[in-house]
This record gives sequence, structure tokens and C-alpha cells, in this order.
Amino acid sequence: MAVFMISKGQLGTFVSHLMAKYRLIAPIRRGGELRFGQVTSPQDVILDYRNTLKAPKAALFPQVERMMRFDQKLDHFNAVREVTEDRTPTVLLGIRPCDARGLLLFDKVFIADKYVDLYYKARRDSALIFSLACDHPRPTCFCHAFGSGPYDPKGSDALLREAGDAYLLEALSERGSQALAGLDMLPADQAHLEQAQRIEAEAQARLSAIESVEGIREMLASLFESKVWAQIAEKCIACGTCTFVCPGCHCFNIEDRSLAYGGERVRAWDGCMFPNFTLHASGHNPRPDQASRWRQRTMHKFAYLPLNVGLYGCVGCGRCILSCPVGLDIREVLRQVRAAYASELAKVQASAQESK
Amino acid sequence: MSDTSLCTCGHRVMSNPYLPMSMVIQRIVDETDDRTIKSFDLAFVRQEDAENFRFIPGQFCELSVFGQGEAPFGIASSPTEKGFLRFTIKKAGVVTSKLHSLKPGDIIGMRGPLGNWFPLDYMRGKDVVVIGGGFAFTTLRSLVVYLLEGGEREQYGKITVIYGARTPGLLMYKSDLEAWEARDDIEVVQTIDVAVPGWTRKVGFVPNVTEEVAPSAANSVAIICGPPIMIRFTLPVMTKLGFQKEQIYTSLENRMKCGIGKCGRCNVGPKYVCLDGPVFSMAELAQLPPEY
Repeated sequence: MAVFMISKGQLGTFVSHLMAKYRLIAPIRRGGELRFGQVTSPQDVILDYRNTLKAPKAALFPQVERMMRFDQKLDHFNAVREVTEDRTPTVLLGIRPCDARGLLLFDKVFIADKYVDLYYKARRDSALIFSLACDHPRPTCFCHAFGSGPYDPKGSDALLREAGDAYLLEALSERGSQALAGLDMLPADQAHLEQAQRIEAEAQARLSAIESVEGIREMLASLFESKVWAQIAEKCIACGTCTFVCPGCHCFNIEDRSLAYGGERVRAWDGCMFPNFTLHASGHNPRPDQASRWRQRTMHKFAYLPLNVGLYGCVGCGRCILSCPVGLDIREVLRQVRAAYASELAKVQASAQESK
Repeated sequence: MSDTSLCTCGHRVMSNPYLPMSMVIQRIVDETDDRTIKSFDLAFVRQEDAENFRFIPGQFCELSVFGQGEAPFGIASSPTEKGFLRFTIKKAGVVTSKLHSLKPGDIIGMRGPLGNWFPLDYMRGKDVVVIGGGFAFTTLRSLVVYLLEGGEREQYGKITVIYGARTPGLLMYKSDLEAWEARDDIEVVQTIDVAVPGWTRKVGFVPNVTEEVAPSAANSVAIICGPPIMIRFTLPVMTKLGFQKEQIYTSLENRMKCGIGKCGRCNVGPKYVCLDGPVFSMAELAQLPPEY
């Protein structure tokens, strides 16, 4: 597909064009934090950044979302009124390829199933993903452990990439192509195409060494009862930060709120790190300790989701590593899983030897 | 929501699966003498919802008390009982406490039916042993009524029901139990933990009584629902009687919110109780971690 060019001096014009047609969500600085938010002024867009503290998932899956309202008559609620789905045409500009892949997982969970989550689907169908390739992967980045990389086109409608004094923009889907065609841009010239290639090669070279996640799923299958979970969970304080910043975490709670004249049902992000997440009304808890919750987090991302929907629940963005207040590192967790598996295997082999 | 019932054949449901139907409470009955368990008979407010609702014993619904919240409950009535849906609910948390304060005529929300069901196809042509304990007899009631009244009683062999509770007053569905006892096409064994004056039926824990009744494992299916301790001690008895894991089914409960496999909390290993269950065979559970 055609590759367009936006000179950096003209970025504001490009952004204005997008804003004229779409609700634009891009990296902006708000309250000192670089985050994804709705752009109100073209110069607020920040594309020269490493990554945001939180994943952009809230754009399609808000942290708190009203699902329906109730009318109140006399002393009991009744008559459910459905909330209108959000179909505002939206562009998510400048999300990283890892976060775009996170949305592919959301698609599997919320849409590609017997039950369709219409709240998510409405926003998703109305959104275009214009990703920004990642030229400065951080030391905590490990997208390449999943066979992905800083220029991975999967999940994006268009990919923006650095080319010195300009950005190149290439459509990657039919919808992306149609959207770009209406934006009146110049085609990329040879010099910028070559420069972009050099920059991509440099970015790839900056990735830190990491083992592939291949085989983890099979190892996890035999580690449900392993002591490794207690070791991993030892310093966890169950704050749930890892789940809130994660582009793959999608678990939620549903709660009702009583208001003065009626009520509403909302859903809000929830997480497997919290004891209440699985607590029965009887007081019984099938995941009674932090070790069983860490097992769930790891199993869900690296065993259950690959089994059930064919994608990992982790994209290697490294946010949980950077945000964890006690320094828990999911890469280290995977190393501990490998070590636990190796030691289990050694035990099995040793006992097989003995019995010979 | 109106066409969710079609989800049992696996097609995609495009109406909002989170949106409850309005139900009116027709009747409320205290099931136990400690008054912690009530049955609620519900009727559809919209005729269209009533016509589209199809379920099979073993399935559950999410009930809403608007402004308080939602919780999952097994359907205790049988598809053969027309005009109402019964849910038997123990007062335990926020939603159930509020439910217990409601009166006939009040409106609540309901979505479903959700989850899978008892293995009726597998059960046809076989003897059926239903073993229940205490409060966990709700979907078992649905099943037994369906087996007796579904117009295909002859398709099942001998039906044996073993039902126990701590005291006579804690046995639910007393009029059903009496009616079943009067029939000759079902054997009903009721038991209580400790003898009390006036009690003429069995005394003893469900596992012991099961061993005494000794239902034959030959060409037989057992459905067991009860408190975890009852199930734990009944399973070895079943094994002793010759039942294989594939012949024994149970229904699991875990904390749920969405009921449709998205909110991520009711899973047992890779399986969701809300989608892949709540009914599992012991052979299936043997492949899953004990996360319930």
C-alpha cells in the first residue's frame, strides 16, 4: 500500500485534519503524566516518547463504564434503560505496536465469541489504530519474546515511522487505506524511505536479549502445584498495579450504584491480584493466597489464553515491570517458571533412574 | 437479550448479553425452618421474553436487584413447569439479602439461561442416581421434575434420589419429595444427620446412606450436588460401588460477574464455570486443578 510522508513541521496540520474528522486519542501530557487522552489542541500531541505509564486500553475499554440505567418508581428499581453505544469515529494515534497487539487479544475475548460485548465492539468498530513504531525500545521491553517487534504491523490500520525530519505513514488495512486517502498527503520519497529503513535497523539492534516464550505453556501445564508460586508471590503486596497498566488485562467487575433518582450498573476494571476477586459469599475462596493469584496471573496470560483464544495475554510492553512498587518482574517470573520446570523434570528423571 | 436462549446451539448472540429482562415476583416460599432459604417464582413481564426463553435443567441465570447488584443462581424449576421460573436462594450477601426483603409484585432483572446443562443425552437409556445435600438441591429439583414430567420417563431406567440435610426442617421442596415418594417410578431416600422424634426416614450422612442404598453402577449415571465436604466423602463411596469418573457429574459454583466468559474470575484452570460449566463430569474435573 502507498506510503505517505508528513514533514515534522507539518505534524500539527496532519493532526488538525484528523481532528476535523475523528475523535483523536493520542499521547498527551496531563497532570504531569504522559498518557493517552482526547486531543483538544493539535500541538498537545506528543509523538517523541518512549511509552506511557498505562496502556491505551481505556480508549476502547474505559476504566469505569456505565452499562445501563434504572428508573426508580416508588421504592424499587425497575425498567432497565440501555445506554447508547459509543460509535464516535475515533483515531488512536501513536500507540505502540505492542499495545495494538493487546487490542487483538481484546477482540478475541470481547467479540470473537458466542457472546458479543457490544460496549467494546461499538468503540472498536468505530476506531482506527494508527500506531507509531518504536525506535527506542526500553530495557524492560520484551515484545520480541513473542515473535513481535518494535515495527510489528499486526493490529494496526496504519503505521507511523520515524524518518529524520519527517514521519512516514503506511496504511496496513483497507479501512486505514481509505482513511489516509482522504487526508491529502504527499507520497514518501526515496531518501526518506531509506532513512526510515536505517532507523528501523537501529531500533531492532537496541532490543535487549530475551528468551522466547515458546514452550512456557507446556511447562506451566505441570506446575500448578509447584512451590514456585509461593516464591514468586512472596513480596507481592496485592496492589493490582500490574493489572491496571497492562494492555492485555481485561478482567472486570460489575456493580450497581444507587443514585438519587434511579440507579446505574457500571463495570470497572478488576484484577486477579485482589483477594475479593474470587471470594465466595460463603467466605470460601478458591484462590486463598497471593501465591494462587500469581499462579492465575501467569497461567491466564501464558497458558489459558493461548489455549482458549490462540494469543498470549502479555505483549511484552514492560509496563508492569516499571510500575511494580516491589520490583516484581514478569520476565523473572518466566525464568523462575523455567527453572521450576527444569527441577521437576530432573526429579522425575532421577526417580526413573532409581526405579530401573 | 431476548434471543439468548438460542445460544445453546452455539450461534452468536448479537443483542446485549448484559441487559436483564424484567421479571415479576409471583410467589415467595420459605423452604427451610431457619428461614434463610426462600424460593422465588418469577414470571416474565414481556410476553416476547417468555416465548424466547428455553432452558435445560442444570443451567443458571443472573438475577438483578436493580441498584444492589447481580448474582448467579441455578434454575430450580423444570422446563415442564409452565408459567414461572423458580430460584431458591439462600441469604448470604448483598444481593441475596435484598432479594429476601422483596415481596410478590416486585420487579427484578434476569438474564440467561447461562452455562451448560445436565447430560440428558448421555443419561437416556440409563439408571439415574441423584444425590444432593442441603441447599444444593436446586438444579437437582429441576432435573428430577424434568425426568418425571418431561414426557419421556420411559427413556430413563430406575431413578433414585438420595437427599440429605442436617435436620428435617432444612430439607427443601418438601411437597415435591412427598409427591415423589408416592410414585412408583422413582425411589426417594431422605436422610438427616441426627435422629429427631417423629422422623421415620433415614438417619445418617449422605455418603453413609449412599453406601447403604448402594445404587448399582451398571449402566448408570450419578449426579451429585452438595457441600464440598459431602462430595468429598461421597466420591469414594461411588468408586466403591463401581462408578467410573465418566459416570459421575456435579455442578460447580464460583464467584461470577458477567456469566458469559469475559470478566475473568470463575475459571477453574482454563475452563470457565459460567461457559464450560457449571456441569462437569468427574472425568473432566480430574483434568482440572482444584480451583473451586
